[in-house]
Amino acid sequence: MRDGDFAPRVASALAAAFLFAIFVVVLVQVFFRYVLGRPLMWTEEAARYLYIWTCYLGTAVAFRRGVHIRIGVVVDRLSPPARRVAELVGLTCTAVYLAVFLAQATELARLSHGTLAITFPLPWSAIYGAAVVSCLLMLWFTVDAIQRALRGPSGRR
Amino acid sequence: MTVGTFLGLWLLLVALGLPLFVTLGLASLASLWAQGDVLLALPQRVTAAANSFTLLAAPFFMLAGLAMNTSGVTNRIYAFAESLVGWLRGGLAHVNVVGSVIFAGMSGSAVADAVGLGAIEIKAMTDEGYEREFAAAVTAASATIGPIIPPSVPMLVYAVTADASIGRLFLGGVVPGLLMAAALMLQLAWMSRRRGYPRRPFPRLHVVAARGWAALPSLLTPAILLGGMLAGAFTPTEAGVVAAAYALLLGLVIHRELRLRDLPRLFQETVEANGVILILVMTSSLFAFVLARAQVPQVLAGWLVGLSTNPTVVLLAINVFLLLVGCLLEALAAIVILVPVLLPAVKLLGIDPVHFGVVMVLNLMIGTLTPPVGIVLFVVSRVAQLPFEVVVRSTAPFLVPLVAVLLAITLWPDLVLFLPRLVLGP
Repeated sequence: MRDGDFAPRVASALAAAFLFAIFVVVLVQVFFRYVLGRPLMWTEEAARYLYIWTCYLGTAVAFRRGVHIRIGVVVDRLSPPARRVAELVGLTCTAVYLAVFLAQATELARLSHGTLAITFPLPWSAIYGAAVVSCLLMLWFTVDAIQRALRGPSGRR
Repeated sequence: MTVGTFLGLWLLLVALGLPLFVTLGLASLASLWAQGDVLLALPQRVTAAANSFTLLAAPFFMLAGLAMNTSGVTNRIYAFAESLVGWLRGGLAHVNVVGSVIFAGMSGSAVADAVGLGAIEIKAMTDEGYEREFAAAVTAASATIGPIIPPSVPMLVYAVTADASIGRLFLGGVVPGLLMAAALMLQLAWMSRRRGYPRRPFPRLHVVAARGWAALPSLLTPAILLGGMLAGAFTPTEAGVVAAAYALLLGLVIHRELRLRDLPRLFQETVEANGVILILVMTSSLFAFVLARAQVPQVLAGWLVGLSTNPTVVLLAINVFLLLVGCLLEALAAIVILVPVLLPAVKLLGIDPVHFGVVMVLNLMIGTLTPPVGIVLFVVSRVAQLPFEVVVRSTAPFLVPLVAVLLAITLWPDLVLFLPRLVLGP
């Protein structure tokens, strides 16, 4: 990660904490059902929502680190100027997708605010919030990458 | 927007080198927008795909593999495998395969195998005078056994997408996984003889016993995982969490090579690896939704059934199609997108979904060894510090035994279905 990259660090730590929370919640679920014979109602649902957050945050962290799976063979064969154009077009397409996704996720979170989870009083806006936060981060990283690509000669990180 | 335009647009975005998940999402977005649909489906579908208690076993299968790589378990597995088959001609190449089989019983992903065990194996093999590209090729080929022998992330994703039994799929992978190992070792025996590779001295029995004893706690992991699941004590997710807890306990308490302060990094690595594959699974389910809206599954089912009413012929045709798809699409994305497309035809022809699942996963694992999208090849070329093209070329001969096993399990469904029927009943 780049120096001073505060947001991805926080996102990574938060996602790891959520995964750890799932780990504990599922162990508690096993313990209560298997050992105490008193199954808990809320554990499965809690684990699922924590997982949604884990996935979205992990995606954003991986996005910043540039480790998402992509096919570079075509672009890598281009001449440096052509590659630069392809990179800028690609980044712009990515920004468009993330912007639309962000707008829709925000709207969905707003609409679902009144709907509560089944076994505990958590509004669904808090769950769709994961998509909002993740898109916001990735959009920010993309805009940053566009700026660097415009500035730098080859635009390579 | 026609299906042709939709797929063409998607391929264009892929060629531009965008992250695969963005290409899948953007093509779906364009299709929905052209249809004048409500775009709220975008975040809703994508989020819903991750809202699954079964799927959240995936990061724990990965965590178990990562934990073993950092806690010295991998070294013990390697040492044990070395004492078992190191004395064969081309010994360390055979060790590579056997090590992968043992590791497969604890980890659910080919990448974890290639990274952890692979690094040890490639170093040991080159130190003993094997060509680096040969060592890399054996590592890559044997890493594909990982997701065939349970636990397995791709089988988990298949089970969720096809609504099939995870226990049956896991058990169904055992025999094909062992067959893959046998086929690879056969090929290695032939190559070793021709190239005159060295062999190691036959180990003394007490060395085998001592190394087996050191590896025993790790060897128990599959027993806990599968035993707990099949006895009905745990759901697959709970089994995954318990197995991960066991792997952490091994490293922290028994082997004492993992420290508590390593845990945050371990969880962060898992979260990132999980993020990479889950966003693909999530966005692929949106892509699958768009294909379903365009009636692609129905059309394809009609076409496949029209091709032949013989299930074997259709299955062979699907295999050829999947091998081509596997070159271009990441395995988990292919599962999420193609299971809804292919399953109606498969069921119509009376093919068992468990049989189909194991065939599909094995097929797509071969796809991780073929360019341009060969995830395992990428990882191995990084670990072995060899150019991607070199690893592609040196791995190619090993596609032969793997495709032979694929053909065998396609033609004889009992190779897959025997074990689940034996354990879980028909």
